[in-house]
Amino acid sequence: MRLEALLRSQGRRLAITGLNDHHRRVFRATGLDEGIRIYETEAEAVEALQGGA
Amino acid sequence: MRPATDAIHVPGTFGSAWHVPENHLCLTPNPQSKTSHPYWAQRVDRLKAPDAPPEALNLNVAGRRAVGPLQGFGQLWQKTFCIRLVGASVTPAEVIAEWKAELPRFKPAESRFYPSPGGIARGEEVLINAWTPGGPIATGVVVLYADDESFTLMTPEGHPESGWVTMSAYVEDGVTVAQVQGLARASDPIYELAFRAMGSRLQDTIWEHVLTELAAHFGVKGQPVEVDRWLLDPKVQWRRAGNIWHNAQIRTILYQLAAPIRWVRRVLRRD
Repeated sequence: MRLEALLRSQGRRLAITGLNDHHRRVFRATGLDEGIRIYETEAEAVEALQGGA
Repeated sequence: MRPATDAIHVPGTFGSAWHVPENHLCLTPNPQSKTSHPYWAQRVDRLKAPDAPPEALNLNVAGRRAVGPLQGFGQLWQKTFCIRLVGASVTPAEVIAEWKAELPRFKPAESRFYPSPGGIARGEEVLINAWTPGGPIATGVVVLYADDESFTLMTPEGHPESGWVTMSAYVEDGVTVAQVQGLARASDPIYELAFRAMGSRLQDTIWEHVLTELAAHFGVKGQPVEVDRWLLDPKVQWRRAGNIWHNAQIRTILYQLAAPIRWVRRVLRRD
């Protein structure tokens, strides 16, 4: 949450990659998956974010 | 121009690798990190109606979504309250076991907590009836996480705050410390105004009361509650202003104002 707020205040975005099943469940349970972008791989994340997605 | 990408490694929960391009940050968890499935609640789309005694006002939980700080409106605060249980020979696990079992006992007098029959365990709910300077409020929380030395409560839509509060205990310098840590935003513009006016201080008083009562339960008296407040995000999230639709305090007050209408309807149905 600190990172998300800090980055957003700087006009930057946070993406998370490589989550295992447990981490995905935690992100879903906490509602973090609704505001933080999640990608399978770093390459996908970088491509998506650099592409303005 | 494409932003540059750097990689750094930092310790932490996820044991992560971080890529820090110009306009975004990419976090990759360590796949070797420990998992803790038994302690986390399953995500449910809508909360169920908690079991509650007849005297409880069971409103504003059933059908609501559980929401965290990302879904809130106001400034994002992390507040930490702790008390040192000096002289008490208790382990963190013993503190948390008692805290879970006796949660309603430690609340302030103007509040009522009604844990569901499963107690403080993942996925269970606690109904809350409280009286605030703004009037009565019926709301609740859901147990997001629970292990032997901590548990975390998450708020439903309409609760004054949108976020998490974690109760935990640990040993520091040979003394067991009980701690409450909240990470939350006010849920909507009305709550944000109320928190800035006096609600934030009121909330501090509640947690100081809870920790003082918990300490007294273990025979500890006279210890101060240490408080740390950290404003993580001073901006409000205007796109969440619509959360006001679920405002539990407004709905509770309207529900109570409508009591005569419900009474007339019941009488008419009997006839």
